[in-house]
Amino acid sequence: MSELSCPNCGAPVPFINKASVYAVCPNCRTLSLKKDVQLEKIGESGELADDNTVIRIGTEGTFRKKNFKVLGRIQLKFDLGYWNEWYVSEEDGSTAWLGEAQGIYFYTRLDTSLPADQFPRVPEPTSEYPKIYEAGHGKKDRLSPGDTFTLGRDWTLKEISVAECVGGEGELPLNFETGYRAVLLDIADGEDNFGTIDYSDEPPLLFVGHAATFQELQLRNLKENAVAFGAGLVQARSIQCVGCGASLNQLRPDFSKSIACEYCGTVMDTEQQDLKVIAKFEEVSKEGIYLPLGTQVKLPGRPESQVLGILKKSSEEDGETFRWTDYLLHYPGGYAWLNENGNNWTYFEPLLGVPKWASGLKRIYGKEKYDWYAKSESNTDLALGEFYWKVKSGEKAEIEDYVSPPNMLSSERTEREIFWSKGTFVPFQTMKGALPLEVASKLQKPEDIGACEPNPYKIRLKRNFRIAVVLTAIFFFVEMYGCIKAKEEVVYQGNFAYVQTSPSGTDIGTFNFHDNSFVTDIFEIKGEATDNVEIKIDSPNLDNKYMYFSVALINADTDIAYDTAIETSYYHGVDDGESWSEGSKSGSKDMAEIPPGHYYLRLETQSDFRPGAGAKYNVQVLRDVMSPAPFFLFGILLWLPLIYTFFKSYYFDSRRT
Amino acid sequence: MLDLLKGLIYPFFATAMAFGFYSQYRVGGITSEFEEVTKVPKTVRQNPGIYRSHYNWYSTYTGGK
Repeated sequence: MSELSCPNCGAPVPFINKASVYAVCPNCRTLSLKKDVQLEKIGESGELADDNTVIRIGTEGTFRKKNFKVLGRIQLKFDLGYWNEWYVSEEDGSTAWLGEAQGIYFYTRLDTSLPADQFPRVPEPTSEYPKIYEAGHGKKDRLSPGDTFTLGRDWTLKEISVAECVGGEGELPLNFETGYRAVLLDIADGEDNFGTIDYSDEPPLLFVGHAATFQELQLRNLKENAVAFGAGLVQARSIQCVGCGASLNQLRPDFSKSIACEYCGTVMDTEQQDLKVIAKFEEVSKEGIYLPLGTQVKLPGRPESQVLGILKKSSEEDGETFRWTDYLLHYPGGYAWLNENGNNWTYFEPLLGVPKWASGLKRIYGKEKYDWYAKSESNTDLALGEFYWKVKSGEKAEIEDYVSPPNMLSSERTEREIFWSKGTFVPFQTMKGALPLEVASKLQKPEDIGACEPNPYKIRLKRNFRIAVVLTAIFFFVEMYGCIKAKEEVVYQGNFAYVQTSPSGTDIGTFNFHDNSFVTDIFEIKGEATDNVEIKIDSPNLDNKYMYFSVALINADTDIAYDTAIETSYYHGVDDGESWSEGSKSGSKDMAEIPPGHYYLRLETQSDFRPGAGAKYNVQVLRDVMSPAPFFLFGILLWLPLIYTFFKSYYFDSRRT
Repeated sequence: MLDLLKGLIYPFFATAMAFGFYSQYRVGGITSEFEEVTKVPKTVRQNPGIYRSHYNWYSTYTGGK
């Protein structure tokens, strides 16, 4: 560390890092340039604003296993408030920048590897709404938040800010000019990388790194008695509405930048002591607002929070107006949104990164894939309470949603930024349990299906599909094994001729039926007692007739009969010029678990032949037969309920709001 | 609770199908239609008419469409 004297007041100005060539005198705020062992005055830093930061020069931290120490900062002011770029030195002497804005941190390094002509162009940097164009030869495409462009790699433009330099402190590697306005582009690549392009210099400066949470930075040696952004340690303050004179309570003056009067709709800038009207909502209606301002919300697994602001929004589609309400929840160290749409509730957390595109109009965030769901233009119809930005009436944004129940990704795109958030469906009962009784009692049960409400049929369908696949595979392999193992041994075969002796169609055993029964020779059935037997009868000459065989397989050793019946019937003809046929000339029956032994068959036949007519037929007895019927029967049955569940699931999804 | 029970319907059904398959595979199940009769007279071989199978009735088929 070296120490030089301020060229203005002579106070000591410390230099820790060799890369630092600029410094602001801690005594008189003179900005100097280091030249060898002397300092040369080049300007003066403006007075830094109290922005509730907890970081100071000397603060240390660790990010991604690298220890760093804060050496200086440049403070900027933009739409949402103040933005600090803290200059930090790491243990090995390398330097980085710790960006800090609205409680979000970005740890980045200056990347000088890219030539100036690859940067997006800003032809009018002094404009309040500067236009950004893609770089490249002859490319004239204008870039809007959410658009992707190439700068070394593919980046998505997240935000366009116009910042004004407030001042600086400590030692710095870069010069700054108080009051200078610069265009800043926030970019992200969907791979956890974050960047800023600073157009305050020529060529622009590219800073590349990662977003970080306060906890991830493991900051030490912080400001004493400091209040972190939105930490909720600052006492609420009472203010009087400039519009109607009503007494309002600003719950989090450390967090909110504007407050909308819940009585008259006047929106006031609360950054200054003298309240300034910045917007007014003409129609103030609390209809459909279920959570009053200040309501405590205790959702399981989420930080205990408080409703700070309420936005009533709407969108038009095909002449129909869709309305919903967003509740801004604040908790120490952060914020979230609770969305109510058709009495369905979704909890939204802001995302620092940009979800990646995937094929099929999907987005990937983390390891989850989200399906495109809807796109609409939202209009802010009413704001009540306090907000971390300066709310304006009639604010419009393009909203795009992607769902993967119970989660969803939502982007809100304006001219200046694209804001991504991740939502999680909150079941009705959970929502009720998260609220004080008097508030919970007013909630209404949803009738429609929420955008990211889990589809119980889809969950069941997935599970049942797996069960069906596994069982079908088991059935198949068992069946295959059975078929390979089956011997299908013919143990008896006989050819017979049937002649009708009774009046046509007479049932066996009835008065006019003439007994035509006979028995076969004895044959041997071998094998195990658990093996089956199949009896097959084939009558190839059957034509527009039936033959019904009363069959008894009788064990000659034990005198046990196994009775069954086999039918062959075959009819055909032409009706109205259309030929038809039905039935079969052969039939069979299985008999399970027939013990080995000596057997014979007793056969008795009835038919609709006229007396004296008949047909030949043959009989086969087979041992150890495997039929594919079990597989086809139960394999198919297994899948039928899935068709029902599929349609139920489809119907459920079609009712999403 | 009702949702839980609804969710269990298919696993129960699948279990029943598995039992049905096993039964069909092992002992013929529903396609194995026969009846066991004991103490059949030995004289059936000489006089088949003295025994009549339990499956001896078949309503007259009218045939065709």
